[in-house]
Amino acid sequence: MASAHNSNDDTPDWSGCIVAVARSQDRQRFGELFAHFAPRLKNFFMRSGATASVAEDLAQDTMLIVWHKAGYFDPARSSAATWIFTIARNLRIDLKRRQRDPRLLEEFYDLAPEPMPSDQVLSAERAARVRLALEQLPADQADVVRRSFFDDAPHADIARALNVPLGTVKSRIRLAMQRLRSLVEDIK
Amino acid sequence: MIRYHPSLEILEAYARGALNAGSALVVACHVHGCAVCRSEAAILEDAGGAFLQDTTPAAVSGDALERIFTRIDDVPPPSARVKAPGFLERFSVPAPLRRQRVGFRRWVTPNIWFAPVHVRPKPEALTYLVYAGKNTTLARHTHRGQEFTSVLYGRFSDESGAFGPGDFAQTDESVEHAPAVMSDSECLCLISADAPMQLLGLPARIIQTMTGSLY
Ligand SMILES: [Zn+2]
Repeated sequence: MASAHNSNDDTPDWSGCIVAVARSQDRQRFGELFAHFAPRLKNFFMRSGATASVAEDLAQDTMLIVWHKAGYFDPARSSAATWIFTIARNLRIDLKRRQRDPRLLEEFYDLAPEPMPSDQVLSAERAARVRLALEQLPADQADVVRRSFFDDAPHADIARALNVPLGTVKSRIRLAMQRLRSLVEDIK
Repeated sequence: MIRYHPSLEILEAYARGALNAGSALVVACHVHGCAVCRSEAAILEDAGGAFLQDTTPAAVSGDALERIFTRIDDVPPPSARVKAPGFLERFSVPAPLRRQRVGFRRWVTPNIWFAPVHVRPKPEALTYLVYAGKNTTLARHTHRGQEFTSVLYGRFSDESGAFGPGDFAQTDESVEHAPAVMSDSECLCLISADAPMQLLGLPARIIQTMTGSLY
């Protein structure tokens, strides 16, 4: 039985899990994916302000979309974590918008990311680069990017929490993005 | 060749979903056709994926996986695809726009039409397509609040530069302009604006009153 681990190293092959779900509705590989990502997704939604029980429902919804849309996942274009993150983020965006317009429910399954035109840089490599680059960023820059982009905190709130001017928050994000871009461009 | 891109700040706000639906659509149309901004957005999404990998897991209930298996047999409903109106067919508009409901077009002169894009949920911004034929100049106007534009087809120019297919333009109150379409090409743009453009000069304002133009 195939498992979520590559033969040559210990990095779990999450992309392979999604592909197996797409090919053969492989429930075991989906279970491995779920065990890893659902608790992280739950934390993601809690960090953006959901209660524990709502966050768990949203984590479930995200994984349900992963199951149904696995066929849209292209390992050459996106890492598994990135793809799952974009679904969760779209769900979060959708939720915020739906709070203002409850008629949007029927578009639930459209939350998997649209296939974009393909690009040069190999995505798995790019994702690994970005992850490494985040570790190399000055801690205050990485922290602001995480608060803004992952926790979805408004920049004014971040400035207040860190007790720095709003301009500092914006410039840290800009510096971080420039740095990430230059590190990623090295692999082109 | 795309020359004008959204600022990093706009792109970051777009990528984390902080823009209203109308503005997000205009940025999406640019990003879809722009390798530079696509790569920028991809880097941010990769950062999101890395944060997700490295975030502290929060325990989920023991039967969470089983409960999902009881739901996965539900067949997802076919997505509600909408058909673009015929008058857009010849422009081959970008994919993000093809999923939107576009309203009737309204000619405001023999050479210019506007058509609303019914972005949902109803955005705080007005979202619309504007078409101008060859050798047309839009009435001189300024803006209340922010306005984003993506050029979908053809070219136009104003005091700040010449914009071509895929270019992104951002204007606000400080900009007063009369965008013009150059001789040999017509132009189609997608615009989202916080408020209707403010036409300048009496004749233009009379036209705006007469047409009841919302734009
Ligand atoms: Zn661009």
